[in-house]
Amino acid sequence: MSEKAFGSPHLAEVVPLSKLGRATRLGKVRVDPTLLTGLVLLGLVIVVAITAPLLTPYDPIEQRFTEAFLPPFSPGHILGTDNFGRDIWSRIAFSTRLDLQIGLLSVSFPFVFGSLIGIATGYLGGTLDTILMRIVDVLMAFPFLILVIAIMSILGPGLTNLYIAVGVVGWIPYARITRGETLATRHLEYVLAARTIGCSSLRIMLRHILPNVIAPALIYVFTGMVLAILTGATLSFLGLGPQPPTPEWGAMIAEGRQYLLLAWWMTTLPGLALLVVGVALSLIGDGLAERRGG
Amino acid sequence: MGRAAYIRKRLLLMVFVLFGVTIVIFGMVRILPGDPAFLILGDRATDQKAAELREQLGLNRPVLEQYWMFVSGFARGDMGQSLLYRQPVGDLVLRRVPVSLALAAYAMGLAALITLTFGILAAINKGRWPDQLIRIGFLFALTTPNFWFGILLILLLGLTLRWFPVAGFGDTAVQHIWYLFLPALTLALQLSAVLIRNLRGQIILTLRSDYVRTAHAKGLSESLVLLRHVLRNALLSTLTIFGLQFGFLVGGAIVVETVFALPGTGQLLIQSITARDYPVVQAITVISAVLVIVVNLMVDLSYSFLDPRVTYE
Amino acid sequence: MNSLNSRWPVIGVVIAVLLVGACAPSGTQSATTQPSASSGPKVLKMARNAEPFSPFVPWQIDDNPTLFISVNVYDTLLRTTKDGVSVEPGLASKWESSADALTWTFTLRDGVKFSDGSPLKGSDVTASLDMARGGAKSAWKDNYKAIKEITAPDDKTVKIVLSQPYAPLLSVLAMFSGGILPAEMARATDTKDYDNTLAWKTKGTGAYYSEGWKKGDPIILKANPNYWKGKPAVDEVRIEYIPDDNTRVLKLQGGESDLVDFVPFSQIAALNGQSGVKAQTFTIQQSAFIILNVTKPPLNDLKVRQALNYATDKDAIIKSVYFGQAKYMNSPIPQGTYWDKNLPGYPYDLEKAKTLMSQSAGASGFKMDMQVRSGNTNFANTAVILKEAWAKLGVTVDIQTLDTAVVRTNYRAGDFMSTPTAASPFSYWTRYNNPDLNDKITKADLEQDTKKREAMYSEIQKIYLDAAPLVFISYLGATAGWRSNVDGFFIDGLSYYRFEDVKINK
Repeated sequence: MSEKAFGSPHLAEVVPLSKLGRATRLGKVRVDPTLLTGLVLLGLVIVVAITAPLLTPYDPIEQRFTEAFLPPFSPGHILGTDNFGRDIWSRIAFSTRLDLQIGLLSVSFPFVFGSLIGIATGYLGGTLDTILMRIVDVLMAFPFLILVIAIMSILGPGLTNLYIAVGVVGWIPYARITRGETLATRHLEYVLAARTIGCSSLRIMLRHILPNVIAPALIYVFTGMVLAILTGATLSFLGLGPQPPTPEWGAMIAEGRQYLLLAWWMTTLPGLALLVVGVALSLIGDGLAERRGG
Repeated sequence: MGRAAYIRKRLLLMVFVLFGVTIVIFGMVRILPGDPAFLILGDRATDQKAAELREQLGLNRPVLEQYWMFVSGFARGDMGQSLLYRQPVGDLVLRRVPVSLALAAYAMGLAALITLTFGILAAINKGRWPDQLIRIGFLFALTTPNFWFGILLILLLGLTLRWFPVAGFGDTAVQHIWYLFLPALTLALQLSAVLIRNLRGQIILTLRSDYVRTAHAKGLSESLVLLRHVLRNALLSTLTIFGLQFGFLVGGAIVVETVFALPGTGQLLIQSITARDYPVVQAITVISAVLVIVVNLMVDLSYSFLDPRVTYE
Repeated sequence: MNSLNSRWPVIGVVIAVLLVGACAPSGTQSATTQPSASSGPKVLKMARNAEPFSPFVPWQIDDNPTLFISVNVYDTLLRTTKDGVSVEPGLASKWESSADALTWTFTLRDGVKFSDGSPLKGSDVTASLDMARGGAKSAWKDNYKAIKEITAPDDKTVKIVLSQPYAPLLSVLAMFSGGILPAEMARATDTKDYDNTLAWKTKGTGAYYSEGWKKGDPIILKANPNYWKGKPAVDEVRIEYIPDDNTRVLKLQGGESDLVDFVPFSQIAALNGQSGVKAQTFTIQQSAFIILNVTKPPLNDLKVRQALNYATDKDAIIKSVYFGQAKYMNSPIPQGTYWDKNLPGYPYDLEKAKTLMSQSAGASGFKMDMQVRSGNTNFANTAVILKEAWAKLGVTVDIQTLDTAVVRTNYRAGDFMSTPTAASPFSYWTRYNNPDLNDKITKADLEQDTKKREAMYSEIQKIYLDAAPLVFISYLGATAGWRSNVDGFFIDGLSYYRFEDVKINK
């Protein structure tokens, strides 16, 4: 999974969106079926996250040993139960909150940090650019898993440390995307014009370049969120994810793995929940990309 | 800049990057909580025994000296002694590298086929059901953790249909190819999920561009336009991702190697981290870093073959 | 924009590749799945959960995967009986002790040969045991420290002189660490360039021998034609390392393995419901428990520890975590030598637990960490159950799944409050230290009268149980699964297994 967590970053980078047409801001509203479907799906997921306690009759961590391993559509347990007799629908619904939070938090800081680095190195160039790009090279050539295991071992388990571990390399795609875009825009007329009238570098970067290069990075955010949740699942596979009995999709998939031949639903259903969010976020990303392209 | 000069420059950069990798990994394994001496000797060991072992393993020497021994040894091709297995790291690691390399190459080959097939299929059917089906299907592959996906493939193709062995590596070259198929497919499907999205988008973009319209106007046949112009153009960026994925295939195949019981570097890496076997962890890290860098250099160089207009800065 | 003919070629290519991948080797598959069916050598294919890492020298072994193989290659003077409770003849066919129990004389079995054909002599035994008790690299010296001298008056006799009476002597001589090598090879094991490559070219008197092994390869054991019980029925044992639990079971179901160890408890019943495979839990001397750090308040209060014990529903854990494949732990020692079956353990009693807790230092509730080794799902599941159970006492359990090395390091440093463990007796230590109890154990080891010794051990068990440095949970078995045509596989009380008893039927 680490290969995904790293690889797809370059998705957006190698489709330099600025090539497709002049950068447009994201503000204009046009109904696009892809985007709309994605937004509706995500909206539904958010509704589930907010209303989870109302939607589920059970406490997601409450154990009932007499009701263990009930298959889906059992009376009282629409999606069945796990090895502790916990209601799987309750666990999936409650973990929606946590997973959206993981997706959001482990992506937002790298997004902000990475984008700023990318713009600065792309615009200023020189030694700063060389040094930062070499750091990127080193991190890229470094096996992701060693990095994550090391960070989690040093800092200890827990969600905050999970965000840190993912964030240490998470900023790289955003930096690469915005750097590429900045390189393409810094010789455009309006940037040159801004420079001739004596605007400071900082002002040019924030006022003129940022709005024009941020969109592709923002589009990548949606893929990044799916990958962050998946990275969490890999960490759970290694036992370093969210701590039990916290309901979390990745952890549920990893915990259910040992009962795969006994109770397929324990891994499959949280996997499907992840798929729904993945589809929603991808559709939104695609929709935004198409609008810019169109 | 000519190609030769470009390669020289990249090789020089590679030395710097590798230098950085050695510093990071050397520092990192030593910050990790856990004393190799106690981990090797077991929980019953006395402090004195552990101290003796540390002395014997050279863990008592100054950090800078240890780092110098690591780097200078590596430069000479000597990767040191494994703390846990008490044998040369080279013996342990080098016979596993081909397994991981073969898995990565196999997965990339399968991924190339799958990506080309379904990427083109999706692009030329943009918006219609084959396109939607492919996109949703590969989203499934993208959002599925591969430890789960691997088991599903074993259940279906290994146990039920009996087309492939369940797990292991086999003894002969032919068996290796056969045994590696399912793990390679597990990785390939996930890699393709990333690549197909890119290729599809690129083809759609290229099809819209002026020169494709010109080609059509000149009356060239559909497949010829697709193959000669569109694909070649679209592949440029897909290839970049492809190269970048390589490192993640080698390093990230750890989980797949565990599920399919392949004797690759991934399994050894996990064991060595747990045992704090510094020299082995360092060796595997540096080797996979070299591979990542070399493959990416090759990818960059291949651009000029795909598109003669590409120059190197 | 699209046309049919532009699509088909590519699909054709992919389908062709998939078929080539699928078909080319399917011819070889039938050959590999039934290798033992024909008249060729009988090969037993085993899948194991772990790979050896210790040097393959009996007294240098410190991991289970290596010692399991060692007992098949290197015989010991005595063997433990299958139930693990007493000893039976091994390389020594009979033995006697002097009246003061200080001198023991062992008579070697007639006609025993090493796998290379050379005869076993008394000097081989003395050389090997001298390395085990005094060799620089021996990991088990402590077990032999009561021994003053070992001599071989002739080729058939070995004499062991003790410095003081030592009741466990016979059990110690049956341990894997007392495996016998040819004298020359035994002495070579302490030399500087004696490495694992040399060690795996074995020369033992056991049922099997190895011609060499490299980490990452399958381990090949070949039947010893000179074995003193006669050449074993299985000609070759091929041991593959398959770390993933599910994968091992799937290999068994698919017929790629004849025998697998560490079958997950959850799958024993399911496997027995299928045709062609069998699975079983064997009784071994191992228990599962939670170690409490008795130096950390409020765990230094006996009542807190007892309350935690009473608040633990062992049956729920046995059912939910171990799928009924474990037994209630009534004493610190598992079923086997000295086990007192009459001790009560701590039966689940929440009311009693609450009362005890309310009278203790933890009356107002407290928070404690439980450090779980990552990757061990049984420990993690136990922790999840205890978190909910102990919350009823006002105890907040903070489950911390950590890298195994971190758990071990914290454990050693005393930087923990509780951690789940599974171990055989006397192979772990806690921070509980009772000089009076230590004294009693030393005395019991010196006691020669079996009845008296048993009584002393009963008292020791009771003191330890009452002190509750652990949360006593269950006795754990060892699991294995095999194809129905495999016969005679057995894991004994010390969790050893011997391939010499295994047969493959047609």
